[in-house]
Amino acid sequence: MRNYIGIILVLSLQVFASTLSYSQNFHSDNIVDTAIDLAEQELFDEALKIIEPALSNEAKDNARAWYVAGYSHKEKFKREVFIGSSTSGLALSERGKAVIQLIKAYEIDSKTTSTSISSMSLDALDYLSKTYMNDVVSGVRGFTRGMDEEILEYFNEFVKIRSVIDKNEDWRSEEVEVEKNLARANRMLLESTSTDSEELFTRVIDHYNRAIELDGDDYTSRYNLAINLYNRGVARLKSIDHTTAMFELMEIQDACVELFEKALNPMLAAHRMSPERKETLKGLVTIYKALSNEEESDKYKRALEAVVKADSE
Amino acid sequence: MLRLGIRNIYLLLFAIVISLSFSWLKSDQGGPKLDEANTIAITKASFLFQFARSNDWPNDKKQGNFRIGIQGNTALYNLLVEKYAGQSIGSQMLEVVEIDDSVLMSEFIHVLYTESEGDELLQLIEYTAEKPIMVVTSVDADSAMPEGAVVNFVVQTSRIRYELDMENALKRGLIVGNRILSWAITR
Repeated sequence: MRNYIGIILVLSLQVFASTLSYSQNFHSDNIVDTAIDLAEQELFDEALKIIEPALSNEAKDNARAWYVAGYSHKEKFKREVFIGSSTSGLALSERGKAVIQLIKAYEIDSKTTSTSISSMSLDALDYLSKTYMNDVVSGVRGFTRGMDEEILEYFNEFVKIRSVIDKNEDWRSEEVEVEKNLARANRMLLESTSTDSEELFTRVIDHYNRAIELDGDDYTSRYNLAINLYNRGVARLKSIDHTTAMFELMEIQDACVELFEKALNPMLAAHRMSPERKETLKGLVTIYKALSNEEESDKYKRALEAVVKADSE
Repeated sequence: MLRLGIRNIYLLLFAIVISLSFSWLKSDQGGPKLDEANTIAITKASFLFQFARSNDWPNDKKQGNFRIGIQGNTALYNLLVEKYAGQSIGSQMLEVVEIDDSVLMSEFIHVLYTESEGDELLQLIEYTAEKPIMVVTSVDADSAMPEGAVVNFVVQTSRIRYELDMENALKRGLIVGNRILSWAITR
């Protein structure tokens, strides 16, 4: 008799547990279906109000739930872009949430047999990644002082999303271009400001160094780095005027020679990569001359003349 | 259906914009141009101005314009004119002149920079001997300071420095300023 009671009790508990689980799943699916309905009617705020609380509870492992939330944030982001800018606070927040939720939807869905949720999540992520890249380009075009980190953050987000879409994609050459563009943007700013800025100059140099770090074979980064260092030295020399004291003249000269020496290595490296390039040869003629090394300056001058002669024949 | 078509067109346009963005990033936006200013001339010009400003000349040479003469280096002459012409040395207006023999005969030069060497230099030094003219030379690092010159530019660890012959300065009646004296090097 006791055994029967025990069996009945266990069975009742099992039924209760499975009913609870079923009811949870049923409840979760209900919520998702309702949210999808609302999203289809473009009532994204309402959809999110229903779905987001469930993401940390009953729907935390539901790919559809994560997708509908991510999709709603993506659409809200698009609305923001339409009425304003993709880099406004609200747009950034919507896009950031959309990315996190869509990645989650893809990860849950692709763990088992992938459904259309995976491909729809990837499509949405593809779109969002491109908006990040677009912000990188817009940021570089309309560059203002100190935007470097923001632009690099957009690029990093772009790469992060692309790595979810396809692990084998390599965006290093694009990153090199971003660094070079940021270096150029800072240089142009430096040239256009009436007051000198060591901070802007440091940024120029740092971006080129980062580009070289990313791609050891990039000629332009090395050449431009050398030119920027050299020109900085010349600019400092040019700042000498009738108000400059003797000790300042000595200090400026020391600082200039240091910059000229720093310019030499990247220029020599660029020359080794492309020995026939006239601008590099001219750079070496000039740098060695500024370092009062007439012998080396003449050597590269002769090499430059030989290249010019060969070109004209 | 219509909505789907519009969406596809939108996506296509977006893809085009993105691909243009990529190519814009990779296109040559105009790199920095090498500044071809003559750095040696800038440095020497700065020193010559310091020499003019920091030394003392006999009272009878403190009238009229203060002249810096340049022989054999047009770039240096142009730089001095561009940067320092119109400045004053004490109560005298600074005038930069490019030197040839006729100028030397007709005008007094306070600071005379020359790139002459050998006989030409000897002749110049002989002509200016015992006059309160600060003769500044610029000879190879391996060569010794020319006899009779007051200052000589030399290259030391890629920097332009100068050496000073105090005896010659005194012989010419020039009083070399402390600042000039303290930065002079010896070899």
